[in-house]
Amino acid sequence: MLCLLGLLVLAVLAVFSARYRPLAREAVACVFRRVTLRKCTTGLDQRLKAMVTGPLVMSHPGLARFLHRHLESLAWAFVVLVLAVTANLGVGFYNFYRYGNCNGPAGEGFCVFDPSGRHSRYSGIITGYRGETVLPDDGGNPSFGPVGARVSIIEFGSYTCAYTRASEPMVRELLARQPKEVRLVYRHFPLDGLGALRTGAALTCEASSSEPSPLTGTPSAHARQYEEHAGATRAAIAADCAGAQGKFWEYHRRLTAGPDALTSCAGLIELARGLVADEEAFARCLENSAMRAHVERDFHDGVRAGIYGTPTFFIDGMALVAPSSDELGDAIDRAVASHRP
Amino acid sequence: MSFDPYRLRQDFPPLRDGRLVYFDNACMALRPQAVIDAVTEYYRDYPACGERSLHRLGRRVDEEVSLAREAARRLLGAKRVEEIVFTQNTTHAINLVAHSFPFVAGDIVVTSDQEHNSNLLPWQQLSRGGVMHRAVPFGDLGALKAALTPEVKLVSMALRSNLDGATIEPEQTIAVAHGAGVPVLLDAAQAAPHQALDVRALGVDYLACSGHKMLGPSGTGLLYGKHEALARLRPTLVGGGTVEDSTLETARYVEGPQRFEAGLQNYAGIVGLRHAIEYLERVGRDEIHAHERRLTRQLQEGLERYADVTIFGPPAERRGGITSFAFAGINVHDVCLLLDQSAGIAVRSGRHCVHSWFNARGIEGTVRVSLYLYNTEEEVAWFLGALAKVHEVLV
Repeated sequence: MLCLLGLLVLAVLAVFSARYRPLAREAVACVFRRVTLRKCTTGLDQRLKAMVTGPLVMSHPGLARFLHRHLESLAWAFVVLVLAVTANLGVGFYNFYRYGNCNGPAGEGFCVFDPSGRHSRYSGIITGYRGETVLPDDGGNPSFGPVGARVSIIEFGSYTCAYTRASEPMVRELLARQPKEVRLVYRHFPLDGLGALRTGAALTCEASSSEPSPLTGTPSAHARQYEEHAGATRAAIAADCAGAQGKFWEYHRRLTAGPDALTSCAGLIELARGLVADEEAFARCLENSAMRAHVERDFHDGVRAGIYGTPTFFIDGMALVAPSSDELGDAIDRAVASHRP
Repeated sequence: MSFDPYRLRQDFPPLRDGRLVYFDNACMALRPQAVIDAVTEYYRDYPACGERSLHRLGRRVDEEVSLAREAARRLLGAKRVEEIVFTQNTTHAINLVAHSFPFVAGDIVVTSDQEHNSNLLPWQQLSRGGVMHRAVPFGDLGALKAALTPEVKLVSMALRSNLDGATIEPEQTIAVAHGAGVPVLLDAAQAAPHQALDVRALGVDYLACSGHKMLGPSGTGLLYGKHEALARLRPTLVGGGTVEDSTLETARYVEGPQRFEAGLQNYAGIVGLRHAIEYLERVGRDEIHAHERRLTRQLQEGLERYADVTIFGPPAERRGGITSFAFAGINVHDVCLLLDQSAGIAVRSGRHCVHSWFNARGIEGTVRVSLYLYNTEEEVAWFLGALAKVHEVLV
């Protein structure tokens, strides 16, 4: 096993210097002999053992003796550890490539490949929750693009999700490439878990509570999630209120344009200024139960569809969680091609 | 001048910082600054051909080679410089005799059973031409005498074994062989650097030794051949420098040792070898021999304290500066590696190119300590202290 460890190190060193190539060849020969259940005859294992224990012989002979006797076992443990770490690293790489987050779809921990978290492309909601995975329809939501378009994209997003906001220009650009073929439907998936709606409390412009979720998972984890995304439901209702005055997409763009989520009643009303014809009606609408029911339906449709993070796009029966521009573009192209007469 | 190893050590760059204890002198000796300077001087001041060029650089090379041959003559006590052939090492010198001696099929070469591969494999190779090899116990004159049948054409023996320092009685060995009319080749690789030799007094026919074991540069060696013995050899490695004249069909070889020195020689090495020999002459090989015997006794006393040790070879006073030992149940390579890693001590482990001896006895190998003029009592004491710790770790 010492030879295997030596090989791991020497193989790398041998790439850069001929000095280590004979040693690397010895390590290969040694490993080959060991995997064929023969004794290593190159002496490399003895040399490696001496390198480790030798410096301790004069000062700590007891420790040197222990290491010399058990180094092979320690090497085994180390190799198992290295393999485990390597496997974990591979999973991390895959997650980073797939989701922009090395901790997986709903991971919240530190990602060594992305310390700043800039590459993560969606906000998770429930760790490990996969819902009922029922394909959603457009839910009668406002759409962008021709009504008779061959391909419909259904996006579930939350205005408190930085990645939902960041993906908006990308989505618009992709739609602009095929304006007659593709239609986008936006549905709400507020990451505060419907905020005050969860307990049937009256919808006001007061701060939302953080009661346990109706969904599965640990209350404490959800509480933190909801707290981070407080006001998401109110912003979703505001977008629908703008839609009631025919300005959904304009207001949607305003909500997704800024670097920070806008969730306070005053802020949402201010954002609608100059856009909606009747600002007073817009302000009243924020507490409208019909609007609230619509957002609630969207959210529950999203839960049934198995959404665990935003933004999630459904195209032709396929779900893409926080896709990159290329991934989403390819999916759109494939869908358009498959629906072409 | 009086023998002072502490002063001599200052001449050897690897020893100056005191962090190296070099006990692998039977393999390769360290070089004094004088030798290093001489080699450097050749490459810097007159890096030219010898025996060919008439320009000043070529003449300087000729002069230096001539001085080196004279130094080698003095070292071995040869009668004439024409009896000294420069070789690459002892192995080369023995092979030169093996392939140049006028053997015929059915001839026999006798060696001991404790020969370095360099004095075994050349004779095994000759079996393809029908020449046979016969081995007798090392140092057993009776067995040697019995082995000297009329088919025996050469006796080739190590004067001192590189395995355990055991030394044959050269005068009696040569007398027995000559009594049967058989010439003798002595492998003096382990003897020439450590004790005074006089080939004329010994009456030996051929003698081979290495420069790198006697403070000289790598790739240098000597073959002494008594004038008439050398004349019997037919050059087998020929080419530039070995002939006076040639036609498309014939060649007239030179009379001197140069007929065995084909092609351009290792002039830098030869020049360095001269300075190594002169260094040894200044120190005195009798003094070196006595110094090594003192250290070997000290070593012996330290090793005898272990109950599980086996010390190979004859008693310390007859081993020169070489001591081979092994501990029961402890891998000799582990001992060697840990001595190096823990205490900066360089010793040799394994079979020391005498595989045949180990295989015949089923012995894995030994740890070999080989001493030289620059080693000290403090170093031996340090070695024994480190060995105690290593033994504690490995036992």
